[in-house]
Amino acid sequence: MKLNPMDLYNLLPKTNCRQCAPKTCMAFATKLALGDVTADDCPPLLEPGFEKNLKTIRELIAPLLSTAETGVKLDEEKCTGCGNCVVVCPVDVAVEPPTGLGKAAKGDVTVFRIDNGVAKIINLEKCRRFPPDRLNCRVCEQYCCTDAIEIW
Amino acid sequence: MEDIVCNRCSLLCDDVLAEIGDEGAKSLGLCRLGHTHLESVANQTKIEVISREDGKENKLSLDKALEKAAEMLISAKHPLLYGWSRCTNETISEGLSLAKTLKAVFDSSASMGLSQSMSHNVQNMKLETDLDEVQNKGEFILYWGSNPVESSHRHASRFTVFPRGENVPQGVESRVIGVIDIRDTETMKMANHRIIIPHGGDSTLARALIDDLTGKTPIKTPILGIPAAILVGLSQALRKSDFTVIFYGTGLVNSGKTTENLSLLEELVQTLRKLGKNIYAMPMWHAPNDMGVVASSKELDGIPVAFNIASGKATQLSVKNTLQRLAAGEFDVVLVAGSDALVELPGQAARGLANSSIIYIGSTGTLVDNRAVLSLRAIDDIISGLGSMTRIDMKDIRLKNWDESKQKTQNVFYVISQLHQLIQTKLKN
Ligand code: SF4
Ligand code: SF4
Ligand code: SF4
Ligand code: SF4
Repeated sequence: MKLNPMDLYNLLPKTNCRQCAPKTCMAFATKLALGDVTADDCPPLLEPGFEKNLKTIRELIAPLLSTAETGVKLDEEKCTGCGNCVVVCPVDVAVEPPTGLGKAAKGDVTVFRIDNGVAKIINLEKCRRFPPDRLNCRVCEQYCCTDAIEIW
Repeated sequence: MEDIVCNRCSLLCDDVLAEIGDEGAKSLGLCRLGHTHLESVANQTKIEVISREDGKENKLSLDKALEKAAEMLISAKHPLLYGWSRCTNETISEGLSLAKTLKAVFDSSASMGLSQSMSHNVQNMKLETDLDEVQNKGEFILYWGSNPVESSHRHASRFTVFPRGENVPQGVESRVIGVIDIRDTETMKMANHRIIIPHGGDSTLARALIDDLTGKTPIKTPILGIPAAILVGLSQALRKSDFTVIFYGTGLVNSGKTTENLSLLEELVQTLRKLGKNIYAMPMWHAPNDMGVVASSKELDGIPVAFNIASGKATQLSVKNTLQRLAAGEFDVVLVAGSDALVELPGQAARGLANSSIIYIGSTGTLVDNRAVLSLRAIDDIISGLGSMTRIDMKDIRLKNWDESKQKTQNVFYVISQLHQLIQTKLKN
């Protein structure tokens, strides 16, 4: 399941009231789609009048909040080798910093590497969805334009 | 594995590794397009020549092939030298000299939009920023009529959307991305602002944005069927960004209103500059070295489009001229160098080309290679590693000499130079 920040944004109060940490509704929606914040972090959304929106948002993000059983799958047929996943994955950037500047991954320490024209997951266990981090990261899936990455 | 430079698209990636062994080519960092290209040319160790007559194929020696090609070109009434978009800058220069020697027409896919853009005021034959600066500073990236996910796979990951940079420390989270296109493209998936316009709607949209930004006519009602709130959001994003780059492509330039659209793009850039913003327009073309064609031909006579050197002096041709003349079958002999012209040309021109006598010099396996009366299959430049090409931001990138390059110097440049020398000798005698 993928969350489009625009869909979430349309359900927010859209007042940019600055009461949440991201300060704007668009930034809040992006963080919501990544699981970094929850609907309860937007005070105006908890006020009367937004009950329906609140319920829909909670339903949309519910799957994000459970990472007990998780995995990352890559469909090589769909992959173009664009390298978006290599550059956005926070693990890759930490273990091979040039990837954060857009450079190709050349070592064997990253989660993703483009081998022979397509992405390969070479260190799945480092993905931050797994213990000990258990984070709700799914940026690779969010920014894979060909839908080659699937996270559950 | 060794450092190489990929020559398959206009990004000329130089941060990639490859090796060629018994099991074929291996690479790290090359996208699917780049790797497929490397694989397809990896095992060629020397020039192969095929001649075709009455449906029969024969192998020829290089010397015989050069002799035949020279005779065909010298005796041609209306020779055309076409292609060049996959060649090195050195090959393009040699091709231009050959066109002078033969008094031939020289043209390339660059004249299907890129040359027009570069010679328009919006660019004035120069770019004011480059992709490295965009990586470091690009705050609002707007793809207009261009679709990097389909054509230049690593554009977003290497330079424009995802990498972190000096002023964009969080990469994509520090940037705002917009896409304007006539359909829902894969590139839209990474965008905050997604604008789908009807075909030919670019000028109306550009005018509406300019008038909103200047305050002349604030956007209050839907335009082109797009809700006002969405357009106001785009306009505000432009107003807010301190470093905007509009990557415009064939969708904007070749939608039937080339000059009008380019002029409006220029006006939009100027409008935002008057508001104190850094904003740049950069063309987004996919062919590996169309920008090299533009740069080399500019040096020749300051004329960036097609040439007719028949009079001994380069005179400008409009793109229609070459395409129409191809379609009408006016060129009796066409030398296609370093391009798959049968794929790149529009239908009727491609049909016209297919019916002329083609001499092909380039990598193996293209459509035009299979159609030519004479095919000189040279070592691809990714293997020979010699010469330089011009990245889409006008930065010259030198190809890398690697293990596979050793002694594999018989590339397109080599063949064209040999052919040119032979033609010069024959013409003297
Ligand atoms: S608290 Fe809610 S309404 Fe206020 S800016 Fe954040 S998301 Fe928007
Ligand atoms: S979900 Fe895992 S693999 Fe994907 S970007 Fe996050 S940490 Fe990397
Ligand atoms: S982002 Fe998707 S298409 Fe691009 S390299 Fe990764 S898996 Fe492949
Ligand atoms: S993006 Fe272009 S230059 Fe880079 S690896 Fe792919 S085809 Fe080659």
